[in-house]
Amino acid sequence: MTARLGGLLALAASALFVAAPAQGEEGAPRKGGTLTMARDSEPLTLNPIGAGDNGSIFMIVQVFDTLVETADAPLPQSALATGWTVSDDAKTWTFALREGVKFSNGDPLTCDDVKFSIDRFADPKVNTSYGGFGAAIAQTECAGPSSFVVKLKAPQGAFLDYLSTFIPSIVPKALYEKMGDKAFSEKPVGSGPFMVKEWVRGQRLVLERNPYYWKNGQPYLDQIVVNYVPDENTRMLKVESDEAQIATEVPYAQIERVAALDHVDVQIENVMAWDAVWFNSRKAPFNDPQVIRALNYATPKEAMLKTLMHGAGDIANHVIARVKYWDPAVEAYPYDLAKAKEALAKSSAPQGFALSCLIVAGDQFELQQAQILQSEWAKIGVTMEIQAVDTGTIWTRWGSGDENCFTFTGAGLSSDALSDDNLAVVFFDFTGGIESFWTGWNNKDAIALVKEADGTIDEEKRKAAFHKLQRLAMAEYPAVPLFFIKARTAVSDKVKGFKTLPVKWWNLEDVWLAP
Amino acid sequence: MRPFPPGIEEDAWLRLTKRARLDRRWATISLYAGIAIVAFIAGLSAAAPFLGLKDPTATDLMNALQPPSLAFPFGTDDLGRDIFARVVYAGRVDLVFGIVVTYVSLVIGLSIGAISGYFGGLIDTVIMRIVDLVISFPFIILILTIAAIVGPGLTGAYIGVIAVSWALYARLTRGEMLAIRRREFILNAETLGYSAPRVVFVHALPNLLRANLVFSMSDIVLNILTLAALSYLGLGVAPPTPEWGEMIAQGQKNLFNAWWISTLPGLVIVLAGIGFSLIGDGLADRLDESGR
Amino acid sequence: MSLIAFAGRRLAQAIPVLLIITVAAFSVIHLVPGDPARVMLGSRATDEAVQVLREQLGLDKPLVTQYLDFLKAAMRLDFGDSLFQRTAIGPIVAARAVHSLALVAYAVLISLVIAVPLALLSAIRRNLLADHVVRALTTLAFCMPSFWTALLLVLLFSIRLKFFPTSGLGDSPLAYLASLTLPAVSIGLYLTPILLRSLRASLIQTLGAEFVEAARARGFGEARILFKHVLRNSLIAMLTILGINVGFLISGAVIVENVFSIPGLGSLMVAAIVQRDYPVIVALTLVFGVVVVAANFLVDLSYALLDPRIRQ
Repeated sequence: MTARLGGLLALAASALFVAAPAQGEEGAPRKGGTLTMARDSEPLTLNPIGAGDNGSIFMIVQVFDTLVETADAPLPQSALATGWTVSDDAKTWTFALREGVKFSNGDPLTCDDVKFSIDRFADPKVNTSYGGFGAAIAQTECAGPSSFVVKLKAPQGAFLDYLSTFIPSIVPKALYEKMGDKAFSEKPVGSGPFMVKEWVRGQRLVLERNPYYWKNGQPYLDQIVVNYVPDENTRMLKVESDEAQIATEVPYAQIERVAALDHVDVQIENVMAWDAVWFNSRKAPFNDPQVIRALNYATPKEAMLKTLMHGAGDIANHVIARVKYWDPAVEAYPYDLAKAKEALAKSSAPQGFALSCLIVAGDQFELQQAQILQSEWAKIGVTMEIQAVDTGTIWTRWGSGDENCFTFTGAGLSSDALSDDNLAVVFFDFTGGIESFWTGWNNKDAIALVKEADGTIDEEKRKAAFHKLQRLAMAEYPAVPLFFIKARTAVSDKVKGFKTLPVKWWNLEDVWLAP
Repeated sequence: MRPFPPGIEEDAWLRLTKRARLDRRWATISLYAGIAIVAFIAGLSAAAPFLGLKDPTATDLMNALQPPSLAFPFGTDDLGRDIFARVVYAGRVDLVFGIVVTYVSLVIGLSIGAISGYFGGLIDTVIMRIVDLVISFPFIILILTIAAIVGPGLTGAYIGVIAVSWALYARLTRGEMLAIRRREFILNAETLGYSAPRVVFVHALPNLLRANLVFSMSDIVLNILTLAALSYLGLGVAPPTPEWGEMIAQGQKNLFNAWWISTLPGLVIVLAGIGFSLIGDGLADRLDESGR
Repeated sequence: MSLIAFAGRRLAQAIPVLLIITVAAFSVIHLVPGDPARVMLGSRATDEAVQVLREQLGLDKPLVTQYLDFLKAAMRLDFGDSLFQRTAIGPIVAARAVHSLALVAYAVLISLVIAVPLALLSAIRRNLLADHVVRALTTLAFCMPSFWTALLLVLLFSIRLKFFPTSGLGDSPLAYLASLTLPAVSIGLYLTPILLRSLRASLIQTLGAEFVEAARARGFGEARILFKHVLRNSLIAMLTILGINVGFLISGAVIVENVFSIPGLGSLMVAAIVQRDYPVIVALTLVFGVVVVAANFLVDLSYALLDPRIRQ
């Protein structure tokens, strides 16, 4: 099970994306063909409201559209809304709806459908999984057939970012009410580039072209067969044998081998995912920033990146993911045992201490990472016991506030939205609901900065607040940030224009197959 | 030379006795060869601290993923740990676990199964339905529960595996008991008025042991491999203590770029498996001699 | 005792066994810490959100009520909805049960076809070269980690020789069988040695028994002795072990299911347990219980058929 939080993409990274040419520069896109994918996870539901796992989300976004969409740009782009205006008090947003859009069953998409979908998004009783994303919405109305108005309770800096997530996907009201939650989740109808042809749970999801899709000439593919292939070795063999043209989550150890294959390339792309070790600051000695600093200096991130991740990642200079307002100028902790010992000597535990750390049982990567930390931290007198706990228990344990230390799978923490706001609320705002990701970090300045950024749509103010927050977190927050994780996808030469977006899903409507 | 039984041709009898001598000789060879193999692995593991091996838990990222060489006979894993040292140290956990778990289960299961098969009727029905319960109860749930009660570690693994495996031996023994229940030597013993425990544990036992012993030899290997699977649920050996199954699992993602991480510990298990099988075969053949 | 009466009595005994298993699984899994709502919502969830979801899923009802609801529905062969997949459990489990049963049946078939002749050979040529070769090879096959042998099979037969697909399930009956072949062989590599060793041991024991010598003495042909007397009398231990393993393999073939991307019951159980998808766990427990009880019933039945003396 993965956990996603909110935010936009890194400015620097996104600039790179915009500049980078799409893979299929060799000639115009061709229409037709079937793309076969081998995926590491499978959907549980195809209903935008109620989904919470990447297996479901990455498929839902192929079937549905949103008012604004997260392309690979740092800002949400127009989609079903062609444009929008915002009132001076930043509380009323008016969207101009695209005309002539149809759902994949041929029904026209109306303002009623939009209102129905956004109202569901805004209702915390319906939208249990991501209630916080829609919580600022006070009221919605259709001011005309193609004018949709949203009134907010208070200005919200990340409003458009939240609208670009998969959750407020536009569903056909009449059909949804007729089918009900359960049936719609099995055989959904949206206005996205693809529609569901066949879904065999545990095996595959087959998508086919939505003939009514509004983007001119798109999608290019006739059909996408998404096979569920949980075993990583088998997944790689699927592309190697050309039974699939795309395989997700290339294991680090196989990047070089798969990239060396004649007809396959490994695309390594920045996404809003990261890995870190978290401590409980309610417990001594983790309430002492010197102790956290000592552990940070004692962590050989460069060597870990090289041996465990084969270089496919970046050393993290932030406690959360590299999202929209990330500041590249902040320095990451270098590996420096002398400084580590010095910091520990000045701390409340100068002789070192013992701790026990929760990791997800069965995850070999996390296990190895933890064993490196175990043997490195021992060098400054910190003895760590590794406690592997099954996924069903780990959130309950960490959420209890009784544990010392916790780390989650690197692929597991990522941002769902394009800006930092949601991650900031979850990780830095003690009053935000889960006491700073259960670390108990209660910092008044941090809370004020989170609220300041959230309450304005002034880009400069938001950026300044998040930059300050990053420096504060790196100095005081009870965590050892490790790496910014990258997406690693094996892609056959025949596949053109494929890209992993910062939110980790793919732009499949731009993909075409070379002859 | 003993007079041969009436009704059998002389050359047939000679063939049989020659055969028996060959079998006896092989039983002995098999037994001692098996003991030698297992003793070799056990001895190395027991003496591990005195062999001048590298520290099995020391990570050395500069030396990660080294193929087998003179410096690292079995190569290194992705944390740069010496796989040979880890394999040798792992024997201390794995051999003890495999043997204890298997034979405790065998003794419990054998006794219960023999009683069930011998007495039949209500006793048999009740015992066998309990066995059905144990066998069909999802193992993972049992393990999770035990982990929740006794906490992570080896103790839970011992309890969990024994709690299930005895039932296999009980079923096996009960089937064998049913098969010999009406044989002459049992009926004779009963006619002579021997007590039920004596008939079951003295007369029937050698015949029941064979199937159990043979099965137990593969069971030891299975139990060792199970130990690794348990670590997926948070039971078993705490890292970084080396353990064969865990080493094999660790190598799974490196199978294509560093075959030695999984394969060499795998071969050690194969060697141990062959050792145990030889012991089992030798013992079974000897029992046969005495049981006849 | 007639077979029908025997079957009837066993069926009657099976019901309490199955009831106890489901009650035990249901109560025990609730003793283990963990909360499906918490697993679903993961890191972003406040306690209030978890509470709302628990109410939606009906997890706030008393456990006894939850169990009785399950039981009532189960009588109608309706297992309710999966908490995670948000759809009816019955069809999911049924589809997967077909694949699991087909896979295990195929594997058992392969194992028997290999194990029985080789065990006969091994027992007759006992302690001679053929016997040693057979035993050494099967021990080797048995001890190798299953993901390792499975992957080796894929590399050889799918990538190099292109005989079979690397993974997944075919649509046509023939393609389906082809796609199950390598997984069945992988399981067979584990099962065959166990069956073979057990059968060989019993065969040797039987070959030495008085009645065989007597039959030999009476001048019956070796082939007739072997098949009519020896094999029949030696199958019991092997069948018992087979019976135990069938139940075990239906629920425990997780690694093979994973390597070959076969949606079977084993991987569903692991997922359900990790997610604490309680209704799925209990439904699967019931299914596994039925399989084990049925397998053991068949084994007991075969005892009686093979050896009339056992029938009391």
